[in-house]
Amino acid sequence: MSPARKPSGPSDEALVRRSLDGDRWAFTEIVDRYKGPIYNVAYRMLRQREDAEDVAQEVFLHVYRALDKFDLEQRFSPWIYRIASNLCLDKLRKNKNVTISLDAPLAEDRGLYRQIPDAAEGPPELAANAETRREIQAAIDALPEKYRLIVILRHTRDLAYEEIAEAMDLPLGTVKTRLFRAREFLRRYLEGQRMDLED
Amino acid sequence: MLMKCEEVYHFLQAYLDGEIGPEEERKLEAHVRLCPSCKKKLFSLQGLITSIEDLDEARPDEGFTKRLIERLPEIAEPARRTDRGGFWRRFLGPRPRG
Repeated sequence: MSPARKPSGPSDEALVRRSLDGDRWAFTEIVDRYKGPIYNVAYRMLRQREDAEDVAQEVFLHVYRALDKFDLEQRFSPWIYRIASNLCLDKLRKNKNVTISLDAPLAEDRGLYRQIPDAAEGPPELAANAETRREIQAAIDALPEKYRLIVILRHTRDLAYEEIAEAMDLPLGTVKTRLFRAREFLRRYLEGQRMDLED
Repeated sequence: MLMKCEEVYHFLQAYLDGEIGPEEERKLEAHVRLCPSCKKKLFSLQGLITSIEDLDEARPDEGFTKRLIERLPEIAEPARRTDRGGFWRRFLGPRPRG
């Protein structure tokens, strides 16, 4: 859920204004409000906890540096997701230039499931759920990056089409086309079929 | 008039996101009631979306905010701040030596 939609407390934009006016609590509140969502996007894109932490930290440092450039007439949420999207895609580009151990993603997968009860020791339905989650995650990981990011923003952060278009600097029509194609890809992938998506 | 299956697909996807007008919604629902193939596709996409939304949230490690705040005094203050970073230094206490 997008934090901007939570009704309680001052709006994000009010917090930015207060940060710029020297309110010391306001920036910490922005970080606390967004660290979970931003880390999650980074983790789902990068699939390595360390990379996700680095990128999430960079996002907030960037926000802090650029706070005065934020247009107070606009909404904060697409702005921070835009910074996060750019930094995640940058990081993925950089990572492509280094050799990746084939064992690394598996080791990292075990890291993710650290946070949920050990499915293997639980009742069968828990194991089945864990298996489903693994399959879904594998399907998402198989998406080309620009499709994967849209799916993540839409379905883990509940961003509307227009917010995704703002965050990724894409026309609305492109967002819809890519999201629909990505979901079709995922649906077929989970049924054992393959579908080509241009990279 | 009922929509054709090819027309439905686009609306069906937007329907799942709640980004469809009431008129299209009415037409889509009328089609899906009578078309087993589109109904199957709708349920399958709905199941997919629910599964993605049910994925566990990965959480940043404890101390994320503290680590971030420790780095802030190293960079420029945001413009128009009225004080020059005394808060962050007070927040963190004296800087460690070395």
